[in-house]
Order: sequence, then C-alpha cells, then structure tokens
Amino acid sequence: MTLRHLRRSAPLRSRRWLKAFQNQTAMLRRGLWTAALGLLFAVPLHNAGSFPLSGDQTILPPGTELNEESLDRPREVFRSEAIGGAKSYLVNLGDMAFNSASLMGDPARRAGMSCGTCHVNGVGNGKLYVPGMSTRPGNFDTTGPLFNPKAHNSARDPVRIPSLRGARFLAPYGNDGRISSLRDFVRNVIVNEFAGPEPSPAILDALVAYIEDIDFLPNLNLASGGHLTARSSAAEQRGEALFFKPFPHDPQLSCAACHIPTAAFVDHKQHTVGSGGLFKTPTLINANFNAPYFHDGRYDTYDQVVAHFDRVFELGLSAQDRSDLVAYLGAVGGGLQPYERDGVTVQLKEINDFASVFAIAIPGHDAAVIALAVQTVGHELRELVEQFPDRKDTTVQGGSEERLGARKALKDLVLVVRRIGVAASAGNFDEAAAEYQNYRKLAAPPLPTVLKIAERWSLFNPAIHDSHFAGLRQLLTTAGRLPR
Amino acid sequence: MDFMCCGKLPRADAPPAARGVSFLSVVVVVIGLVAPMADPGHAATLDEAAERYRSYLIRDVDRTVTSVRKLRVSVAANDLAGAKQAWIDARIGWERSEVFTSGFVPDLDKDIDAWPDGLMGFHAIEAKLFGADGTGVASEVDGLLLSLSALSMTVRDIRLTPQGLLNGIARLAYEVGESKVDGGESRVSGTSIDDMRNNLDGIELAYRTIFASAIEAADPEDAAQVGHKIDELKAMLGSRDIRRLDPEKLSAISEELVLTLQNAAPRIELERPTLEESTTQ
Repeated sequence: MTLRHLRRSAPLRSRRWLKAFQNQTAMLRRGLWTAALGLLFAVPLHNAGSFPLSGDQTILPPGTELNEESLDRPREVFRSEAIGGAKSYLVNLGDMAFNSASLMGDPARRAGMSCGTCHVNGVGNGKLYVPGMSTRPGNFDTTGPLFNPKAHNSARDPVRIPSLRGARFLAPYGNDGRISSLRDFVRNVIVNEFAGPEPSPAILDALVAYIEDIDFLPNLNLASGGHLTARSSAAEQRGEALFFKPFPHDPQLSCAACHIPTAAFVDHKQHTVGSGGLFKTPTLINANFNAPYFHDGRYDTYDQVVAHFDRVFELGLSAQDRSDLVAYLGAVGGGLQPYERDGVTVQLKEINDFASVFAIAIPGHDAAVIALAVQTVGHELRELVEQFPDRKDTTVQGGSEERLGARKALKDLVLVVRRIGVAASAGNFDEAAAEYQNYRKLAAPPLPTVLKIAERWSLFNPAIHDSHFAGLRQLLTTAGRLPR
Repeated sequence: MDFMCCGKLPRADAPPAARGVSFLSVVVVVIGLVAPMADPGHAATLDEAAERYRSYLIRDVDRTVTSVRKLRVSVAANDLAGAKQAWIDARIGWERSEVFTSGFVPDLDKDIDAWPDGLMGFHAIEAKLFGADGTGVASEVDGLLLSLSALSMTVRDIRLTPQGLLNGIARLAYEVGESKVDGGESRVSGTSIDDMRNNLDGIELAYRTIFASAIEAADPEDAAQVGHKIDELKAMLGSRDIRRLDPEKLSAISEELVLTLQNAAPRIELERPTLEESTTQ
C-alpha cells in the first residue's frame, strides 16, 4: 500500500472552488501537499525563507490548494475543436509535454510538478502554494532558490500564476511583458525557472501549439468589439460607461485605453499603475476565474482592484460607481461552463489523447517522443488506478470486485505502455507499433464501461471522496500533522 | 547474483547488508534443492518450492508477532523509544510477507495494514507513536497482535499456490514503483523507504526460493533480467533517502521487472501474473 492515492499530480488537475476552511478535506489536502513538498524540498529549501518548511509543522494558508484531488476542474476549450476540427498531433504532444514532470529539473520532477501543476488545464492555479516560494496562494517566486538556484535573486518577489486562455492574443509574455515570443517564454520557464534540460525544438513547437490552441471560454455577455450585449444589467451597462470614461486628472487615460475591448482587453504594453513597477496589461476576458489579481496576486477581488485604481488615479468614484465597475468586470470576466466534473470519462479521454502521439511517433521512430509519452501516459494511468481504492482502504464500503476490476484493467494498460517503451528503446519499432495496437484494443470498450461501473466506488464519487479524505484527516490529526 | 553460503536464514531485523548475506545463503540452499527441476514437471517442483518458501514466510510473520509483543511490553512500560523501535522491527517481516498477504489473506491484510483512517493496524499505532509521541496504543496493539496471530496460524496450513505467489511478487513489484512524493506508506514514522526495501527483500526471497531455478532453466535471459531488475531496484533503494528517489526510473524498473515475470511465466507453465485478483486463488 502507498499513499499514492492521496494525491494526484498534474494533469489530474482541477480545483474545487470551495471555501477552504469550510472544507475539511481541503485542509487535509493542503496538509498533505505541504508535507510532501516539505519532505521533498527540505534540503534545497533550508535557506529559502521564513515559511516553516517541515511538513511536520505546516499546513498551507487559507485558500491554498495544490489542485489535487478536486472533483471539478477548469474546462479547457480548444480552438481546433471549437471550429469543428480536432486537436492536431502537435497539440496533443504539447498537452502531454505540458503535463509531464519529465521536462522539469530535478526538484520539480521528483515532486511530480509539471507546467500543468501551476496552470491547471491551462488556467492559473489560484490555490497553488509552494512553501518558501509563495507568499500567498496563487503566486510563486520564479527566481527563488528551490527549483533553480542559478536563477535565485535573493529577493522574495513572487508573481501571479497567469491563465493561458487566449494566450495567443496576449503577447508580450510574463507579468512584466519582458519576453515577446511565447516560444521563448516557454523555454525560459522550463530551463531557467525550473532548471529543466534544454527542450528539443519539436517539444517547444508542440508546447506552443498546445498553448495557442487554448481558447477563451465563450462569454455570452460580450458582443463583437468587446461591448456588452443587450442581456447585460443596468449596473453592468453603467460600469461599461465608466470603463470608457476619461480619468479626471488625465483625460487621455481610461480603463478602456489600456484594456482595449476590441483587442481582447489588452494593449500589449506595460504600464505603471502604482503597484511597484511596469507591468503589462492583463486581459479581462474570463478573469472571473483568474484571481488573484495584479502582477503579484495581491488582490483577491474586483472590489479591491477597483479601489486600487480609484485611489492611485484619484478617480473619485462613488460607492455606486465602484459597484457598477465591479459588475461590468464580472460580466466581461465571465465564461460558459468554467468547470467540468472530473471523472472516468474525462480522464480516459485525456489519457487517450496523450497516447495518440504514439500513432505518429512510433512509425516516425521518434524515440524521444515515445519515451516522453511512455513516461507521461504511464504516470497518468498509475494515478488513475489510485482513484479506485484498493481493499485496504477502510473508508470505502462495497464495490470491491468492481474496484479491483478497474484497477486491474488500468494496470494492464500501464504495462502495455511500458512494453511500448521497452520495444522502442531496443529499436524494435514494429513491436512497439503492435503494442500500441494492443493499447488501443485494451483502452477501447469494454474498458470505459468497466471503469464507469466502478466509478461509483471511486474517489470521483463525492461521497467516497469525502469519506476517504475524512479518514485520512483523522489519521493525520491523530498524528499531530493537522490541527484538531 | 553471486551465491555465498553461510547456512543461515535471513534475519528480518538485521541491517540490509547483513540480510543480504544471509539471504544469499538461502538462495544457495534453495538453488541447490531446486536445481534438478528444470524438466517438464514444473508444477510439482514449483509446489515443492512453494512449500519451502512457507518456512521463510512463517519465520517473517513470527518475527513480526514477536516484535509486536515487544511493542506491547514497551507500551505498557510507557517506553516510547522502545515502542517505536519495536514497531519498526515489526514492519520488516510484515513488508517482506506482503508477497503473500495481499492475495492470499486480503481480509487480514486489511486489518493489519489498514488505510487511511488509522482506526486499526500498523498505521493507527504509527500515527500515535511517531506523530503524537504517545504510547496510548494498547488497544490498537492488542488488535494488531490478534490479527497477526491469526496470520501466523494461517500461513502454517494455507495452500500456497505458485501462481498466487507469482502474482504476489508481480503485484508488490508494481507497488514498489509507485510514486512516494507524498512521503510513502509510513510517512509519519519516516520509514517508507524501509518498507520499500523490505518489500523488495520479500520479492527476492520468494522469487529465488520458488521460481529462479525454473526460470533459469527455461530461459536464462529472463532469469538474468529478473536478477538485474531486482539489483537495480536495490541500488535505488540503497540511497536510504526517499527524497532522492527518481520516480520515473523507479516506476520504469518496477514495471520492467513485472514484464519480465510476465514473459517468463508461461515458460514455467504458469499464467502471466495478474496485478489484481479476487480473493480466491
């Protein structure tokens, strides 16, 4: 038995928008992740800052959640699918690489962290908190000592983790907009922020293809040109008018001057807005799901953001004005179906999308991609196995045979994936291709049905999920690892 | 794998190196005993080998019982340090015997090693002993001792099928390859890597005792590969620091070990080992 089923690293990635302190399981997850990170990073973090680093002593601050074990996850809208097509090989490869710890340097890799840990389904993880590297949930010091000591600047200067929805419209990149190319920015994250090995051009191309395929969520509040539709409320319309209204002490400025509605609410420029430097204009589209706000994630709400601008630019807003602006921002920042329920169907689709790269990589004798896919797909399958508790889990009653059946079927897939890797690494690509066909056969019906039946007794079932984590919380509370 | 003879059974509580030496002696004895069986009668010889494995299994389980009795004494005396050491000692034999327990006695397996609520078994005791530094675990220890005593009785007369034991080896090999990013099974006591090492010892003991000779005779390459993978895992787990484990390498080697066992199984007239199974063998 292991504790593996206590956590899921990205890309089983989602977050649950529950108030953390109202949710015991959320507290538990925080404790676990802090403990895990403390365990793994105890050595390199010994001088990383004031936050207690031992997993024995810490739980994460309120609101923190490392997106693990959540039942809802941000919905990912792909441009290619939205226009009636399908994700390309490049997009699937990029998605897989995005969610592979293999790209990272050793500390992150050993912790199972990937791009997808911070950018859950391409959306900024507002609850991520890494002890010693974050000052609050949702930010992260990219020049801290943990992941790449060579990039450590000895300053605690965490930045907000951004959403990547619509990233292709949002250059330049980085909170200060210091890098104009998305490709260069992605490489910088991997190599400099996380001390990963130099990614191959093919992997970089794929990562960019994936990120550029992530669309904004549709927003029925917005018409063409970024204007509100007729369905908007009076408050939202008043807020829109204020948004375009020139600032009283500098008539050349307005909210809309920088957040240009016709241009995805950005101007591709950096500005000083009283937050301690020059920072690029962030988009407001889908921003309801992108908190915290500002470059360092200092604000949790639109109220705080509006109050900041009112104060810094002496806008003289009334309470009604502020409320109207907040309503407007809420309308612009909305999106259809921002979350989807995690489960067998979602997970299988994702894993099979990842595995689809074998179809091109194997005949292409692309050993590097095959190796990456073997590692990532195998890892994902192993994680999915643990969603079906084994017999030792005393918090789950019933469905024993169904759970065992699901576990067996998934473990069989794990082994088939490994067979692909073994064959390919020996240069036997014909055998690898045969094993991939075997994978496809095993991943086809009845596997989805087997898993779907067992899902009732899995951690995808909220009741089972809560029971399991309540049990774990009980153990860790007894052990003094969580507050009573 | 070299085989040196010293004529002793492996000491469950010995340091890894010493256990390795002792274990090798077992291998010598076992190899000597089973070497002639490279012929058609695999089933009969494997059955005999499984019976020989029983003595080691009994010894491991009984050592665990002995350690838990010591644990009970230490707890009664409020001797926290002694209790912790007894708990650690008890885990050695238990983890080695998991080759057998999960498939043959799943109910006892659950009672003894329950997770995650810590209401009973090893981890309930671990949470209080190591997490809360308390010795108020008398009732949990009594419960554990009861289950272990039942296990001790069971291992003496339960039918040990080679197929079930091969399945157990493969299942445990897969499990060793699971990520320990969360600290592993015994994270409260910080002994998860010891669990893994003891799992591996148990895998090696069962494999060498029951299957090694037959596989060697049927396909020396497979036999060499199994030995190589076990050695690779040993080398990884020799770091004694769970933070230093390379999760990708660990899972790769563990899965390759399982694959090799699956490849070899038909050659000794067994089914490919399955990684999950019903309670019936």
